[in-house]
Amino acid sequence: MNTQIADEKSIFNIAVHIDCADARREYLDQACADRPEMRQRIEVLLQMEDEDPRFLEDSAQTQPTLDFDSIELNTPDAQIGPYKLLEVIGEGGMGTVYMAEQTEPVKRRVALKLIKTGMDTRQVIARFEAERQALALMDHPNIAKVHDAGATESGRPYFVMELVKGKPITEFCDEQRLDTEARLKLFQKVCQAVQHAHQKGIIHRDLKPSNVMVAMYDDQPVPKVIDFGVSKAVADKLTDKTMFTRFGQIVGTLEYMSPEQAQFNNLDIDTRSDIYSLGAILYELLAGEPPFEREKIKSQALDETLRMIREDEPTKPSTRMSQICEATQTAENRKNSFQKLGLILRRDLDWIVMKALEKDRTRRYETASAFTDDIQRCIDNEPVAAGPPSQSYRLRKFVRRNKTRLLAAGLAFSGLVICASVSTWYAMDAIESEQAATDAAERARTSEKKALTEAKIANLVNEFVNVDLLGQANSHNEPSPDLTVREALDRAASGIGDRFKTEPMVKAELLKTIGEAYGSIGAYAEAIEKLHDADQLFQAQLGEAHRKSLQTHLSLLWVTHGQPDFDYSKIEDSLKSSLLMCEVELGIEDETTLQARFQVADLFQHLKRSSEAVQISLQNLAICRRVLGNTHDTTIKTLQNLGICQFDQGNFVLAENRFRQVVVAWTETHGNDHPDTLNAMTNLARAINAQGKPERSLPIAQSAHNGIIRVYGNKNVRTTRSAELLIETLEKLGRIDDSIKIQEWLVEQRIDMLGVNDRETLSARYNLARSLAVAGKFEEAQDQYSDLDIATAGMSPDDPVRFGTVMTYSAVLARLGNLRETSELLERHYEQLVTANGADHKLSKNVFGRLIHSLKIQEKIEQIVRVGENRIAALQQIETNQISPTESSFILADTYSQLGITMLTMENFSSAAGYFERESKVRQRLHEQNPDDNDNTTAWAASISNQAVSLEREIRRNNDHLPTSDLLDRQRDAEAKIRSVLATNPAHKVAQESLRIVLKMQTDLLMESGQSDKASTTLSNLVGISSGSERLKYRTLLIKSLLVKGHREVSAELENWIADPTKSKEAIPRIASAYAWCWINAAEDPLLEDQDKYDCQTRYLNATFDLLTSAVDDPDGLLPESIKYLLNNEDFDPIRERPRFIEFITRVKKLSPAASMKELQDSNIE
Amino acid sequence: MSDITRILHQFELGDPTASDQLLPLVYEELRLLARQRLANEKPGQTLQATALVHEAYLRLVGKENDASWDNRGHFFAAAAEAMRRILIELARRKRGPRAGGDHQRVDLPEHELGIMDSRLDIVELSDALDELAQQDSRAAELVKLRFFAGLTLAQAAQALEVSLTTAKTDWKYAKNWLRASLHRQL
Repeated sequence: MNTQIADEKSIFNIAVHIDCADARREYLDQACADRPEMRQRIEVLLQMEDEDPRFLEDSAQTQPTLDFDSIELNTPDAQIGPYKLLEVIGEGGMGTVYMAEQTEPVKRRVALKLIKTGMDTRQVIARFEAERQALALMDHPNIAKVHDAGATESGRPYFVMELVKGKPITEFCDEQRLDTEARLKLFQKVCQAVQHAHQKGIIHRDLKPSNVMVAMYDDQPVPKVIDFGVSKAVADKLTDKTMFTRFGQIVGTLEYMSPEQAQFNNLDIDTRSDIYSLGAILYELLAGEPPFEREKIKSQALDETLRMIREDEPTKPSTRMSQICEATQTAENRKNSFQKLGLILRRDLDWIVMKALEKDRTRRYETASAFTDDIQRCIDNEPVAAGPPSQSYRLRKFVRRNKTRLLAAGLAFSGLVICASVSTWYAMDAIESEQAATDAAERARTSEKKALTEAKIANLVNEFVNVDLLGQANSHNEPSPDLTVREALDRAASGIGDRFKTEPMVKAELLKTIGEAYGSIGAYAEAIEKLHDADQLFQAQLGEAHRKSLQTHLSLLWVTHGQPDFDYSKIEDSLKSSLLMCEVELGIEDETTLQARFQVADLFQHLKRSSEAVQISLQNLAICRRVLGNTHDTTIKTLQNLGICQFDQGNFVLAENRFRQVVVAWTETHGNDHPDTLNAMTNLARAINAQGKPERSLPIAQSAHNGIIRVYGNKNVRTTRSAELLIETLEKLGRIDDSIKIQEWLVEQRIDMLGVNDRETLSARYNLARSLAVAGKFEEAQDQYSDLDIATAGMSPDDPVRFGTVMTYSAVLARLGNLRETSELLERHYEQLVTANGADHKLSKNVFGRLIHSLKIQEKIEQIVRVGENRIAALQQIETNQISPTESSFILADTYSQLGITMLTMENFSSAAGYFERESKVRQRLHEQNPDDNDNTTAWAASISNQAVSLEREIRRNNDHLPTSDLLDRQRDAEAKIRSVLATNPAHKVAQESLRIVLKMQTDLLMESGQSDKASTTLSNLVGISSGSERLKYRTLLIKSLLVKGHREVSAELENWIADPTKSKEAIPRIASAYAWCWINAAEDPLLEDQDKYDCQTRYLNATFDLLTSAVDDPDGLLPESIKYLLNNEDFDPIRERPRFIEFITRVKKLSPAASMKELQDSNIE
Repeated sequence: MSDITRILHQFELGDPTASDQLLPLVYEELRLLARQRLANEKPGQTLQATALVHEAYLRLVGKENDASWDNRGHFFAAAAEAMRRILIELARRKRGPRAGGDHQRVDLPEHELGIMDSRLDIVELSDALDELAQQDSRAAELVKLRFFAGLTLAQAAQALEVSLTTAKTDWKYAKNWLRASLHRQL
């Protein structure tokens, strides 16, 4: 039908009902504007109607030819048995209600409900008869009596009831504009009536507003519940067959139907189903609409509606009310009353209604009178029994989740025979394989025979869950939700017992579910036990390669490695074979295979085999995404695993990306506050932190922490862990004060959870104290630490918490100036460490260093020596006891060094020299053992030069103490040692420097003691190892030391100097001057003959003038310096050398006319 | 379980071929029934077609105690179509000799099988219904259910899964449309 026809039809339909011709024309003018053709057609149709309104009507059926549903008895005075029908007073889903007159045995007016055809009349009557006795016992002013039931001649069942006048309760309340309190009071009467019926063992099963009629008696509204006993007789149970019925007559009234009634094959309906329906009625009385929207129920498919009733939580009445009020104005009455209620009252009513509407009937009001009592409390402003749905929320969710899994498992049994198919797994031995297959097939056949039908298993499992697991979930007095789950599982587990001896599959299924549930609350021991049993059962029944067996085995392996400190390598083989079996038996893309592959990747991740894990995860992820979609658990877990591995590999950016996807996926599937979502958020924050971007991770860490508090409360391990992450992030951001606040909170939680002296508590307190110290709050830190020092005293001295406490405490004490306490604390701890771990433990070295440092500040040399010698003795003891003493020798050498340096800085030179000497001996020995150990060689050279330095200082301070010769011997000894270091390692910087120091000190000693001739050797050594201005200085000193030896030695050294390519320009005048000295001294040389003397002098003078002349060429103006140097040389006689000097001056003038004439004039040469 | 109820169950299971199977069965049943009933009637007596349909329903479906209206809807849709064909067949036969090679069966006795309003030409009405079905199949189906299968407006509405109001609108529109068509006014 196109839209034009639809328009045409509706316009026609309106027009045909307009009797006035003018009005009709006017309407058509308006409706058919621009559509003259349509108008013409409609006019024809209208004409047809006017001409012959009875056309077709007579030949078409207005009354059914056959008696289907109704009205064979519409004619007045129709008689059914003793009842004369008077008029129709109602039509309903089940049939038509007549007012009738009874003539026998009494004359009275009654209501007669004639049920539609389609019922098995005999069954209806039989069911009614079965309850007749109980119905007769009901006697309540608010219950309409059912007098009789029977069948018409044509076989339709009917019921005869007390005639009730009035209106359905909802209509009545609206018409009378009753306020909320009046509504509640009226409703309470209904509850009382239902309670009465329940006490007589009658369940209504179809409570709804139209079954609660209200009329005024003596100005009082009086409700009457009708149809007791009728629906049970009439209503068939909901079966798969009726699922396709879309009109709802058979299944009853969906709007008020309890979830258990909306369940297929559910035979088990009790009084609590009526409580639900009462709740739905109260809901409508308050909100104006039943819990689920009528429109939705009408428009959607029945199975969807049933699902909705079973699973969806209805909106709270107050919320619904405001939604309806926003949408329409019709709810004005209730708006005025319900909306005007105080917040508390409204909230209480919400809770009361929602409690009655709980999906899980064990959580509803136990009885109708409990329901009305709670309403009374609400009216009286007393606290109501109903509360927010959070109390056992988690348990309920938990069980519901498992129930679904159970059902799914129970229904997945069709593969019972297929499971026995030949397993290629055993292909390694064909015969064995065949045998195994035959065995398995045999087992399967036998078990199939024994096995219950699919539905029966599902029912048994379902019933077990309902009664044994779900049935105990209504305890309000449980403080801890986990405890409740745990207890529920314990009871359920013990409930299995021998009950399923003959049904091993059911037992296995239950054990698997309970085992997995134990696993999910961290009760690993129980989980392993149950899953192990389930695994054995499945393997025995189905063979190990069956999907069930594989799934169970995978679950078992999963919980196995959930244990703390688990050695993952133990399950590697088993897990790999499971994966292989899955791949072979189920295919590489099967859901179970994907789970198995995820577990293998997880295993590798825990074994820190990250690259293998990444490879498998990437492969699995691709398949998961394609086969299961992005939001499947396995897909997300795989993604998460990948993120963790990439984090382990140091790919923090990639890891961040993965975790971000995981967060999005979990949020989408589980919501914000799900543990998995929150866990993923903390992972994400860690990955960002690891990139050194705490400013980005802070909001994530913060919101994860808040979420974890919401979900787990303050006192939970997960909460404290997320707090630690937040603290770490804040500290990285330098927000120490914020961090301290959270740490203080954390300490409180830990104290509450674990006690003051628990390790975790102490660890948190230690961190807090440390942060206080970092923040400069030393007094507060000291308070914390002094407590901590006592609290941790019992710990092993090398425990990180204990050790850290002492170290930072000592630092804080030192910072506060309490030096004595500092060293006492350190010494005490040092001794404990030595006793517990030995003097050669690396921590004792650390503490020893701090100890002597603190003693040094206090200038307590004796104590240092005492402690030091004790340590040395202890180390030497260890050294001699050890077969390979290298390690302790190093520690001993380090200790000497520590002491030597301490003594040196304390200016206790002789003592320092002694320690350095002892150090150098140990180092030398170590060097001989291992010449390639550069660190040791360096330390060896350093120890030697340190020793030398110490000695030199000692000499300087007190010359009298030691004879110079002794000192020189020691210095030469040191020089020799250093040279032996250099012999093996000539480029050794520290050794070179040490040698320089030693030689310099020797030189100084020789010069100062007037042995400058001996100094020339050390000086020439120094020249050899020095450079730049140092070298110039040593050359100059060397020449000077040679002067006593005479001009030959001097001039020989000068030639070396001239030959030195590294000599600087500053050297030239000095060399020139030295040659001038040689020229003078050669004149006095008695060993020279006259001619030789003259030649020698000429050579010296030439060299002097050559050097000076070369200096003339120097543009930097060395000439004046040189001339000055020459003229100031008292051995130079310008008069005697006049001719050469004039020649020299001439050359100078010629070359450099402007050159320092002042100096020349000063020389008085003219 | 009779063939018919089996097929009706196939509808439940969503088998799209169910209606193809249902029609011939109902058709055969109706013919058989008509022959039996007419054999017992005095000549010249008109048997109501719709009554026949309901009898067929009780025989075929009703006794199985399957009261789902969904199934009834399918049944009556098939029955209405079958009855229409039977009536047309009869009407054509009454009109005159058949063309050679016609496959029409002649096993119904020479009795009237008719509808209440004898003024109506069943063939013309049937053709007009086909026309209506072209542009408004739901309305046409409604007329068929009422006219040939004898359902009340409410029953037909249920069978078609529409509200009573819609059915009323469709009915009023359709019957006037048909009358206009029969009078060549549209």
